[in-house]
Amino acid sequence: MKVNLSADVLDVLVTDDGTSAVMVGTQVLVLAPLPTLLVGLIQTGTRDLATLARRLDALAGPPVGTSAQAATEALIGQLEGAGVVAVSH
Amino acid sequence: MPEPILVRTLEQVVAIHLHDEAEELEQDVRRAWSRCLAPDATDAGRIDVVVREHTRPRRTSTTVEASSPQAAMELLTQAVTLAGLEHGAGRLLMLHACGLVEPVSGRAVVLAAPSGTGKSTAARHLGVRWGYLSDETVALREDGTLVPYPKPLSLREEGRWKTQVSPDDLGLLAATEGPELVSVVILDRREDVTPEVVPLSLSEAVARLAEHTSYLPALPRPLHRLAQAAPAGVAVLRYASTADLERRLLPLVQAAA
Repeated sequence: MKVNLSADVLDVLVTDDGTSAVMVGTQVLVLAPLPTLLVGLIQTGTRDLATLARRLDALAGPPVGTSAQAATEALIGQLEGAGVVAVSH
Repeated sequence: MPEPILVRTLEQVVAIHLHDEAEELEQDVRRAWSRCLAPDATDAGRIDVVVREHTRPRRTSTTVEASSPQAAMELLTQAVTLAGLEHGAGRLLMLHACGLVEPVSGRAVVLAAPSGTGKSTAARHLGVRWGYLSDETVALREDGTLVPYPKPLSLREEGRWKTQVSPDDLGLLAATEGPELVSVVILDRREDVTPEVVPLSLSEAVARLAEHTSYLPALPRPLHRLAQAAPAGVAVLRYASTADLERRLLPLVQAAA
């Protein structure tokens, strides 16, 4: 699915299972728990990667086969590359 | 020129004005829209219908132009529906769906599906035992109450244009007053499939249902409105025949008790 990243986020619905539905323009995306958490952290202003990684470790644990820091950095990089977020290094 | 025909489309009333050869359609329109006729209305919308030879078929929410009576009837159904959708934008949650009410319990099920994949067929067959809400659009107010839209059924027969048939002429039951929506089902009709009901997680349900809505982005907090639409959950129903449908729907309604 191609997502129009310049469209507005109209609504975010987080559900009991930790997943979320995000309405971007006319599209609705389903996010798994980890991206949901990341988006939430970013929305609440948590842009410091070390803090982000610690919170992920505390809340969800790292994805299997990688570290929370690596997963977070990779995702942030992708979001930054796509223009979704701006990160000051 | 005949008197305009007042028709309720969701929460809007439109006055249908027939012109030229379309004047001959008056009785057909009144008959097809028998369940939606409105006695009077203030602030009614307006749809002008023109039938003329060699006219290119065209419709908006306010005009219909056609070269044949059958084309005019189908385009009029689309125009009336569109007028109701435009009027409800920003207030009503509107699903492309068939709506049926189990007559004993008064509980309603909504069957969402793309055009041409079984909504009218389901309404036609199940509506002789379940009350008929709509074969095209089911709308919900913010308080969760359903808005009936018992339009003519658009049935594929011969020729390019679908025939518009009154639910009265098909013997469909009228829906009971104030039906309670308990289940939303996304229809997935396939040949030679074993019928099954596949429940969806809430986020998946919201995403799948969003594909079957009109003017969803115009609503405040649209995903939350979708999530409220089906307190008993949303499921995909895979089926091959309408007989499968009723066998699978009844337990869903009973389970919501």
